[in-house]
Amino acid sequence: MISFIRQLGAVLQLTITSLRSRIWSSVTTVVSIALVIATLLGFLSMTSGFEKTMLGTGSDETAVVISKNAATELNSALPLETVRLLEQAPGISRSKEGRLLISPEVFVMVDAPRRSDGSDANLSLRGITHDAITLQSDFKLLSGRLPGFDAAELIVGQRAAETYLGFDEGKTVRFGATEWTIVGVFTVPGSVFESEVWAGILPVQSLFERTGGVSIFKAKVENTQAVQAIADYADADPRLNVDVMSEKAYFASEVGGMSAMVSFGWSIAIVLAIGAVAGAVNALYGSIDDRKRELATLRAIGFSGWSAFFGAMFEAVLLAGLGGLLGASLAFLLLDGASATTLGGNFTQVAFNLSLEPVQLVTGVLLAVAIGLMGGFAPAIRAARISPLVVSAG
Amino acid sequence: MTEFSLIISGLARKKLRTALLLVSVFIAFFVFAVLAAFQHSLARGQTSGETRLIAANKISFTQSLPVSYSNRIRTLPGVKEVSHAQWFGGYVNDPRNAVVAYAVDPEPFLNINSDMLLDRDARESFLGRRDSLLVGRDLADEHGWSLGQQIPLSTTIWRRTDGSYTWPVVIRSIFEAGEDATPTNTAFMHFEYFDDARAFTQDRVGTILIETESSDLNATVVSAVDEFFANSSAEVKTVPEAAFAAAFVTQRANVGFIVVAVSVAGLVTVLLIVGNTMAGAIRERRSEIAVLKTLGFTEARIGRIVLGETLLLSIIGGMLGLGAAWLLIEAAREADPFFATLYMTGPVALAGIGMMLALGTATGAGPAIGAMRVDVITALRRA
Repeated sequence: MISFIRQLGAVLQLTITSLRSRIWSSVTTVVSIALVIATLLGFLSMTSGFEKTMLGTGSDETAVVISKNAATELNSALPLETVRLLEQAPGISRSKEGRLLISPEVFVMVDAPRRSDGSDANLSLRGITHDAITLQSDFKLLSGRLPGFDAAELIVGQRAAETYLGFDEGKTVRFGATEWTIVGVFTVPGSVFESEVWAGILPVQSLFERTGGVSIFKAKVENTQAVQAIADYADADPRLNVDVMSEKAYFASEVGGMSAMVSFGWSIAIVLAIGAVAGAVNALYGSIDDRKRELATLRAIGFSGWSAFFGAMFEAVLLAGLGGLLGASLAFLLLDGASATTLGGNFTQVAFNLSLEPVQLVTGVLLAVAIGLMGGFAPAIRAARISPLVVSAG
Repeated sequence: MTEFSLIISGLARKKLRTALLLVSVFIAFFVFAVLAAFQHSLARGQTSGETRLIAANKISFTQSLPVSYSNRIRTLPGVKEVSHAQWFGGYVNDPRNAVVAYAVDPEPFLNINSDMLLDRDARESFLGRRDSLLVGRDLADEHGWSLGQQIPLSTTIWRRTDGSYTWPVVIRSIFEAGEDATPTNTAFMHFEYFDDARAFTQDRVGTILIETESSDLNATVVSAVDEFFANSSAEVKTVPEAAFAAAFVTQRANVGFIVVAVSVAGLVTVLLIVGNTMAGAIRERRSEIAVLKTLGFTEARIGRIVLGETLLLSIIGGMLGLGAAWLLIEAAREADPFFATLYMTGPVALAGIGMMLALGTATGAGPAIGAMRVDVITALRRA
């Protein structure tokens, strides 16, 4: 056993020293595996970035009410009578002045041209009252002023301003027959609201023919249990046909929306990995052939076939592992934090930052090592079978 | 010996090596072709030969249009048939049990969708009663529905005047996929039956389907419709049906960027692998090349043989990749209506062939020059 470990040590050392003579072939293997890993991580960075934004939106201490089974505010319609009943629900916080901290909001989708290619995309327009801002404690006006709540005026989320053409402060945009003036830019850092535009609820209701009700009803609650109290209150009243949940849970339920992207990314990565395995097998066979005499010499002086096998596997895993690290670093440096957009639960554009978590980077490196193990196996067997006779034959 | 047989024997020298290189090339072209075909089919939606258009509110398709627009569009020249369609947001018993359902103007709708396989009796029984539901074969099988069965079709969106969210409907006809693989996972109800009971947005519809006399008239009809309603309370934007669907995909992700990035990653990988392996293969053949030179082979001829090997390699691997992509695309179109417009198009195939030639030349150029420069004396002495 000890002699085997010694042999292995010697073989591994030899492998590393001899890598220099096959530098280009080794670099090829490393780079090709790095590209596969970077591709996989590209897809994964989309899903985790989107998840991060969804999970970063909303509070535990805000209750959200939408119409029963609507799942999203886009589908939801709450008649004014429902809103009046909800205002009497238990557990809703009050401001210092004694005002109920509630926010009835109207959500509509509007088409707006994207800066990137000029094509129309679905933009969220939210009609709000002033307490919508009170409820989003991270809300900050970056420039300009709040909209007049009875005028056709908009404030634009920072990300929406970056994404859409013509949504700059001071400009006007047109939805249907109405011109809207952009009077400010706001942020609610890390949330989906940054991809929205907000206006007073009254002009949105009247100009989009939604005077009969609202889309969503939000209420600041005294504690997290109060959300359940409101849900019980709604269940007990047959006039209330609604679903109640915390704002945090509402946005968390949209996280699954990118699962197709995960499967797609993995499918592509596995197909590309097959190509990389084939390339690695070739490079390693080449390496074994180059070192035939060296390996045969080792066998002739008493090294076992196993040490040759592990030496070749070591080379494969070393190169693949380096490829994995290179691919993961490239993906992290180029992608982490880059901006992207997708469709959220409301079928409107949500801008988010691509994000790579440690667990994904490790997954990438592990896939690289797996490519190395698969690519190394057959060449390693050939290495183990080299006959000591090759020395004299050469 | 001809040059071609020398090329073949060069590739046959190490069969395993050649096979592995073919696998790498195959994968790169397979991935490229599938992705490019997907992107191309999305882009092609704008100009397809289809005669079906969709008109929706210019603000967004989620804003409604007056139902009367249908009849006004019908009077425009070049328009053959018009039916409104309202997304129902349907489900049965449990919202997780979603049913893709629309409320449509029944007779014009069937006229436009003449590719649905529906016999005369089935057509008549769907049209005859206002609470009829027309169901696709896949959907009927999925839920185990049979003709004459009454089901409670609920909606996540529409409230009825009686406060409920459920329309009782009777399955009166089942349609099968036509020749162009109509999706059969959908259901259609009578618009009037739906509209009479709903509590809000009455007499309004989400989209209006338009069939034109011929696809040549599409552009004319699009501008005629859009201009007709310009400056009205509800302005209209009309697009080809395929473009309407494509917008959902292109908004979900930057498809163009993904296609380019992944294809480049795949192709650069094979460029490295093939280039490096071929360089090694030529190095190991220096003495043979020297022999060829002594036999009187010109440098140009030797260069051609080496280049021929890499070109042949990338053309065979690439063609197999395109072929496999074509098979996958055909199968996907059969299997899932989502891929109904997915085709391996001419431009994608041409781009693929162009890249095969580029790959073959790029990977062969270095080794070919190396082979041409082989010095007979040194190479033979070493051997």
